[in-house]
Amino acid sequence: MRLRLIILILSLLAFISASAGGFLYYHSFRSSALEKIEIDALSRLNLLTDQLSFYLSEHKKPVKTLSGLKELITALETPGYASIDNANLILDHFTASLGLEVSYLMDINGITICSSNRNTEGSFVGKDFSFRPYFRNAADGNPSTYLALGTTSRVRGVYHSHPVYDPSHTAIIGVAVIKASVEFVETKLFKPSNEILLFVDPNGLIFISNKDEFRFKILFETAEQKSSQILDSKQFGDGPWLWTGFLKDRDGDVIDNKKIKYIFSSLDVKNYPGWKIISLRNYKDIKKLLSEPFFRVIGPAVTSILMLTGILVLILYHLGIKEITKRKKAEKELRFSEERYRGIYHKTPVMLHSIDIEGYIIHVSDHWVEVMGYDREEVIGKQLIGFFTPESKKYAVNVVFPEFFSTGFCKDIPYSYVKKNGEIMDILLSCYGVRDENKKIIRSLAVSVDVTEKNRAQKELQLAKEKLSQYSRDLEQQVKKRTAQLETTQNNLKNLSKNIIASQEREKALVARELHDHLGQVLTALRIDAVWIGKILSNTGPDTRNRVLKMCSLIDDTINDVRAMAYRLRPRVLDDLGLADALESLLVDFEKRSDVSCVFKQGVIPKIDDTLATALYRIGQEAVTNALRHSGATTITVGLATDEEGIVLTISDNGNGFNTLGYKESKGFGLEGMKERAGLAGGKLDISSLPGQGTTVCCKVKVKG
Amino acid sequence: MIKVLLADDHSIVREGLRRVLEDSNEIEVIAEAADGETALDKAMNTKPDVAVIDISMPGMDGLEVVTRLKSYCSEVPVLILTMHDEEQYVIRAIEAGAMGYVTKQSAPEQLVAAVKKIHAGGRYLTEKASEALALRVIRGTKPHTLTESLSMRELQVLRKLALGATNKEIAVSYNISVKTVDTYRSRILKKLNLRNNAELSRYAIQNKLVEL
Repeated sequence: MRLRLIILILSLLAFISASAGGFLYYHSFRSSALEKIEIDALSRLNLLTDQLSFYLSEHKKPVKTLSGLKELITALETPGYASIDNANLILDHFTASLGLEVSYLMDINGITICSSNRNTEGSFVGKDFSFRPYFRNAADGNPSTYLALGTTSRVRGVYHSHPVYDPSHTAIIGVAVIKASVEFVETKLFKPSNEILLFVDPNGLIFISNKDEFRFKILFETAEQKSSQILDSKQFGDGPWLWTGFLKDRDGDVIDNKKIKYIFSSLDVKNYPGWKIISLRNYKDIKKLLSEPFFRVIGPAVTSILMLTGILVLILYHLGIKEITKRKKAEKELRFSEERYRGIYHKTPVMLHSIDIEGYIIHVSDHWVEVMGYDREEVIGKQLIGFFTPESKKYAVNVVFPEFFSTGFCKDIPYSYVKKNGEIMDILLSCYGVRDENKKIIRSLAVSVDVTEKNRAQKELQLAKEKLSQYSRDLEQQVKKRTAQLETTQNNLKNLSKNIIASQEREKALVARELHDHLGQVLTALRIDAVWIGKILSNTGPDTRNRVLKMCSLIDDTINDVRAMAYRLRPRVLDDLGLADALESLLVDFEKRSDVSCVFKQGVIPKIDDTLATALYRIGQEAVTNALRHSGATTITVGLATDEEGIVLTISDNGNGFNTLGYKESKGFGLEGMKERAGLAGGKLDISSLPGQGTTVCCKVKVKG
Repeated sequence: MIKVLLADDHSIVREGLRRVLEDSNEIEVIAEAADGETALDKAMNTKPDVAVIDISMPGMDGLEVVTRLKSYCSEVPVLILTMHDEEQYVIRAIEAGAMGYVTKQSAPEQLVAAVKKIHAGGRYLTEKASEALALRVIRGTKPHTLTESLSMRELQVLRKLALGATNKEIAVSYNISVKTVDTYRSRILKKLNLRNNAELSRYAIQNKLVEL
């Protein structure tokens, strides 16, 4: 409110000083302008006076010339018809050429004898103008000038008179006169304007004016006597001569009957003693004259300055009010936030405390005293470390306090409080220093978090974790052990499989060898003997011979059976000649027993051990058997070759094929058996087949060296 | 008399064979052996005219003996005697340097003739064996993409057909049906992109599958 008043007063003062400045400026401007107007008026009056006296004396020389003309002298000396005529002609000529109102000639008695207006109604001829001062002066020998209202013509004029001398130039015999109208002067010099210009005779009668209403009026009120004097002089007709109504006041100014004030200036006119040129100027007009341009120029400037001031004041006022409102709002908010802060500080369920630089407790939150079990009075003003365990006390004094008072900040300091009931409470304390304007710490604001439970939980968790990791280590070891056992078992199984296969093969080989070598040889021997016996008994008759032949045939069949049996069990060719020959013989054998064409394509292969050779032979045997039995192929091709890694055995047919994805071992193709066999031999078996596109079995075995 | 070394691990068989040889009255068995080493020793010591050696013997087998014998005393021709009738054995034996080949089964009928022929400086091969040998040579020396696509049996049939054998003759010689022979024939024509037997003959001659 006070600010509002101050702004209001300030704006008022600004307005007043602006107005005063304007007024003072106007005042000084006016007085100097008035002075200038005065001077201007005087100089104009001077000029007017000079011009007037020049006009008024314009015809002094022409009248002198006229008076010296012999025609006029003649007309005066010898008045007669002819001489008067001649003189009139001269006068006419003068009047016309000089633009005069009239020119005329008077005899020594003042009677007009010749005149340029002799033919007009108001002819001067015969008239007596001896009362006129200009006549009397000229008759005395003094040329004179006279201002008067014509008695006959009632026209104002300037009368110039000059004496006419006789030819010997000793006696005055008449007077020559020229009358010029003042109308011309009046229109030329007394131009209409706001200024009243007056040409006044010594008695105060206005003879010439630029205002018609003032002509032939008395300027200032005069005595009756003066009026009669004017009447007597017959200079200005018969009167009456009214008063203009002007009055002179004490300051020399003039006031008219309407109380309008005029500035009065007056100047004497040369050669016309007592005559004055007077100027009257209306004050109001002058003021208007002054103030108009002033206000025209200064007015808008002043107005705009005033308006600007006003606007500025308004803006400032508005800003001021806004600032005040803002500050008030801020103050209110501050107060509110302080209250809230205090509320939060005390009511928040957090342990808050503040200590001074000496370590004495200044504030504590409600929660603090509640948790610690003390009354507020027991805490405020006490040393904080008084509530610490001895270890925490030592830690605080030696480590935390020095550090805090240098940095003004600390975080998660592990302390232990001692409650009133003696319980120990683990906390984490964080605090920052509240500083004064010199940046010096004056007190702390600290928050303590109860971590007793957390610490205990953490310890338990740690224990549990250790236990768990122990368990998991044990478990891992057990798993490892079991895995090793499993692996061993698996290896054993694998070895067992290998051994079984090997022993199977051994058994087969053994049986085959027994069959082939032993039984076969015996049968062979038997046959040889039978043939021999047959030869010996050839003479005994056809019966014996037939029996022997029959016997031989029987032995042959048996040999073939035995050989075939042995071959099926294990072909000797595999042991004797190797894998390639064995496969070739296998295909020849198959071809003999079916009408499928079996093509063997043999590349160069390295020497391989018996186990591998057996495995590959068996795989080939199984695959070709499958193809013969199930595929319906017309051609089976077996390839034995080597690539970069080892031996490649492929068995492909152009038969029906099958979908490898939907394949089930139950069909009895022995594919799994082949795969297992390949695996045990350290190789890999792939079967690719599509319905209608044949089947290819490919077995690859890596061979070292 | 033709002096013969007889090597067979089986004594009964050896005895039988000896009798077969000596019954001819043209052949004398001067030495016998029951294993490879002994056979080699005796061959070197007795210098027989012909060595009749069983291909399967304990220790050093017959093929090994043939190979060794070739380097120690190359003048002794070897006749291989075997229980096996797989062509592979024939080929190996010939490759090793044997001059003839007789299965024990057919020994009573063929052995004497075989020994005689070899002693005379000839070769003795059964028809089957010589054919297998021929086919192996064809395959081994003339790799031909078309020929390569033929199976052993197809090659056999092709040769027979090229030499002018009838389907029936072929069927008899391989102990298969006439129909099967026909199947083989059409398969061969298809594989070799041929139209008839005449073209087939020309192909076989051009590719030296047969010798005229």
